[in-house]
Amino acid sequence: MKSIQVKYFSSLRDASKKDQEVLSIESPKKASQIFDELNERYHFSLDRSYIKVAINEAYQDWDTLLHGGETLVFIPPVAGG
Amino acid sequence: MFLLQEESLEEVINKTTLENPEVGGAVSFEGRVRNVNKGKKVTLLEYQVYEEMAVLEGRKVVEEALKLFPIKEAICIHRYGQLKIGERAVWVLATSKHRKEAFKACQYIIDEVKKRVPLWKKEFYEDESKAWVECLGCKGTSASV
Repeated sequence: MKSIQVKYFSSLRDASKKDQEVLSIESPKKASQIFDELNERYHFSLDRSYIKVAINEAYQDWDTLLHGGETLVFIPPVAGG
Repeated sequence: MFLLQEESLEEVINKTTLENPEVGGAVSFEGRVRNVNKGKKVTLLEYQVYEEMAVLEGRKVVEEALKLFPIKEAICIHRYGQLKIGERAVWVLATSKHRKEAFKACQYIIDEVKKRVPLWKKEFYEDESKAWVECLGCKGTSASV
């Protein structure tokens, strides 16, 4: 069993009511699969099509496989400036 | 150089001096907190930041500008935390021999920062409601320009 650290920001933090959590995975999982599972649990207000994925502080595709040991962040539409 | 800071930008802007004698043009941009958005009266803003990634992504943007345009220097500083109306939220400075490159680099930096750097803005309104500013017309781009 390996673990992934998930951090939450903006409306996703409001929905999950947590800054971060550690998820356990038995086998590699796509970022999209992890999002869908978390969305079932927390009912995020944003559809996946509005969100980007960051793995270890860099943007990646939704199809990227996570093997454990990564930091995963779902990035809602950013609003700097 | 890309920096994040919670404190006001006034001091750092006032202290920044241009000493390179080759610089003939310096262009700066500052984004300020506006009191109205989409018809609602805003009283306060709060920027939330994914600091580790924002610093990396912000540095990438500034480095790209230095490669893309023949400029001498490029600086971008973004605030996080709570900001009042009228306060500076972001400051960009680009310097070059001639003005055209500095204008282009300054625009490039602020546009890319707004599209890519993981910062989120919560607006607090006069009627005591609040909301995250999310550009839902920017599907798949995470842009909020």
